[in-house]
Amino acid sequence: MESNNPLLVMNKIYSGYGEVKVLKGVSVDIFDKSITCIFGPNGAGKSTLLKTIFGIVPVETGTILCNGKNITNLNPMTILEMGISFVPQGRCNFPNMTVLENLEMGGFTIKRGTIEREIDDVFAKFPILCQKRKDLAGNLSGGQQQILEMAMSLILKPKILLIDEPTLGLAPNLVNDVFETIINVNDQGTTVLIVEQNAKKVLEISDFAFVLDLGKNWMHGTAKEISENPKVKLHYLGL
Amino acid sequence: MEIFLQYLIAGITNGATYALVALGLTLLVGVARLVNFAHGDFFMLGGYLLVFLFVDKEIPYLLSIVITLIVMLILGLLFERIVVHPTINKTWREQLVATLATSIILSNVAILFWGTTPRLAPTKLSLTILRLGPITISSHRFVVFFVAVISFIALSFFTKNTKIGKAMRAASQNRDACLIYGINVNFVSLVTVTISTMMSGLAGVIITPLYNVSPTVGSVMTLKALTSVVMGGLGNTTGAIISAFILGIVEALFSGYVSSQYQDVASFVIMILILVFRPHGMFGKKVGI
Amino acid sequence: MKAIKENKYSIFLIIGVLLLVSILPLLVNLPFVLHVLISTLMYIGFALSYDIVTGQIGAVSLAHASFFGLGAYVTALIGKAIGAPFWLNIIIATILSIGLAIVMSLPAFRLSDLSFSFATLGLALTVQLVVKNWVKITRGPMCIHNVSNSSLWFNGILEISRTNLIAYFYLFLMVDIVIIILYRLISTGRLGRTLTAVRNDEVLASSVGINIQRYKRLTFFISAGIAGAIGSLWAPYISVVCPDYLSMDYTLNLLAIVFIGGSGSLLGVVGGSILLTVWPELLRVTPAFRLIIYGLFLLIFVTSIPNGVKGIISNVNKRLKIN
Repeated sequence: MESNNPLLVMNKIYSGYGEVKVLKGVSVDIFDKSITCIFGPNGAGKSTLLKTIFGIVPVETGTILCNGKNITNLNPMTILEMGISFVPQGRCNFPNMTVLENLEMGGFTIKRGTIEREIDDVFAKFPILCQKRKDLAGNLSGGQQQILEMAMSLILKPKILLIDEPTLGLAPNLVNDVFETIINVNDQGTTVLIVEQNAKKVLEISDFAFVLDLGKNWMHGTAKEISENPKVKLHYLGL
Repeated sequence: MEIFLQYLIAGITNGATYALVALGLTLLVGVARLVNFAHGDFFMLGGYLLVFLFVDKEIPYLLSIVITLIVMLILGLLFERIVVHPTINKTWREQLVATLATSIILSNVAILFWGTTPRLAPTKLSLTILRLGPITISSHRFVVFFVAVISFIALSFFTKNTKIGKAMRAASQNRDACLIYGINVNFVSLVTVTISTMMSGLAGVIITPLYNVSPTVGSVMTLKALTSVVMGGLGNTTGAIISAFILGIVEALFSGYVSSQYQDVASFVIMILILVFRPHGMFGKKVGI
Repeated sequence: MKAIKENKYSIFLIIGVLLLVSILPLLVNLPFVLHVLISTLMYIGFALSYDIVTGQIGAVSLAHASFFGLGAYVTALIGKAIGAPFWLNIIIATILSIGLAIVMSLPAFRLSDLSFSFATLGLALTVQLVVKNWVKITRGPMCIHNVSNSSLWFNGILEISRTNLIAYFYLFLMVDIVIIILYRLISTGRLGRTLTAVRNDEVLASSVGINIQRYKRLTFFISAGIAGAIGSLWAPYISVVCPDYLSMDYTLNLLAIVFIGGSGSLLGVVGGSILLTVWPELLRVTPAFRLIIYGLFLLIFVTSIPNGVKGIISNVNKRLKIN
């Protein structure tokens, strides 16, 4: 699973909104076909890290490399074309459009003609979406909407999927569905970078983990190492 | 009863015009989150262009309409680039001042070109009066109604079946999400503003054979369209269309039974009442177009 | 555009300049020059009265011309009926304008931001429509001509007539000085400080027990009253009163002056009035052309200034706080 050259490298990144820097020298390596999770207390800069990769939050210093190419401060459209998709926190579907139309919007940048095939692929992976293809996205349950949003991001067949707090506000039984979906996505070859509050659950499915605190790296390692770390156990796993 | 029917028919056709104007405005509000105070002035320009081409230059009616629509398309593109695009991420105050300034520029350009005397563009059809028993209707009213209905159907088809049309709906429902999926909001906004401007202009073109156009008609029309949009719930297209018809009918009845001079006041009063008591519109809350 | 630097001495600067200007008529006694000066003075007062609302409570009213027009019509009608002295006209015009403002405020102040602007636009168009259609009283679009100027006397001491432009000039100058002092009092006095607090943090202001609505309404009424008084003075000077006086065109003039000059700033508004009144009067451009130019100015200003109107307002606020 582990290869020597990471797919995505963030090197000593300082980034944030205006004069306030949220990330203060964060370095993260993401390996191909892995699931990497990021957790930490509120204000640690977890969401900002994903937005920085996707080009929504500007980088002040530091570089981000994807497959060896410098992607620092490119705009979201270009990042998307590089094969990085983003599922942000909160609802990012179109509530008054059908599931099918939402998926079409997810594949907005795909050329005409190929989109149908991509959507069929997604329906094969997510039978629940196929079942509800004519329903309005806003009428789906919270978990289904989360799955729809991941599916919308997967239409473009990204190499890397960035996911921000997918289980926020979901009922416990739906949380498992979402995690299962993430495992499936990863099994099909997509590298996943996930930010999650539920450290215990996310460590179970991850290969690697990074713990951030106040915009800096606090700890990193394989998910196994991290989940056995006494400090992590104390602060995040409630053991 | 006959007189009531007569007013009702007038109200429905006027409502159809308002609906065309309101539909354009509600698209703009939905997709670009911008209230355009110059919206009615494109209606006014549409009317004047028809008068200019059809009456003054004696170009055939249908050709005049086509030329007017092409001009409206160009104006719409210019309006988006010069006014909407630079203010789209600014506050309502800048948007208000910018679109109001546009409105004043357009209405005064009309004064420079055509003066302040109201103008009419009577056509053969508008002068043909149909008698249905005791009711008399100008046959042009049917043209107004059918053009409006066809426009609604065309727009609905466009937003439901084309990629860019779907993107318009997407942008109106969740603008932030568009960024995530690489939907080009800039282009969507350009298309929306252009369609919106053309619809307003088209309304002016189809109603000018029946009613006078004057430079000040723009701001009155803007307010009527706004009334329909607010009544329908911001960004709700069906709501805006229904509201526009209600407004047209109420106005026609008010004009017939109470006072024709104060007809416009009726719609302003409705607008203020709606703003104060039903700020989310008459049809409940709904996001986007 | 960098907003003009303003400090607590700006009021003395402006009044000083006005006093300097006051010797102008003694040097150049040309009717045309006097007319330009009088128009400018009128717009200074009118724009300041408008900015009391836009600059102090941040609301964009589109009904300000209604109060000006009402003042003008009231004066013209009193002149036709009885011919009261000008100070009585002013008092009646002011009271009626405040009355109209009270009526308008009933729905308008239940709304905020853009809805407030819609509502005031609707109300303004309604008032204009009434004036246009109430032909029996207002003569509608035929306008009221030859507004009595004999009504402009002050107990026989100051005889003002259309032929005596110098007297008009001094009258407007005095009125402007009064309005400038009022404006200053409102922006820095108790009312002004309260409004600044409201603008900065409405929730906080209301939580410490400030009745925001009351202050906002009070400001709106004062602004309307001043506009009515100016209309009352303007009618006999210009001698014709038309429904146009209540139109959006006048309000747009004010918007241009206030937003380009710098909303919330005394120097800005006075400067804007001079900048935007003198040249069209000198060039004698038609109203339509003048409005096109104003519209273009506004458009360029709003679309190309990075922070736009709001940035300038907040700059001014910052400075007001420092002072």
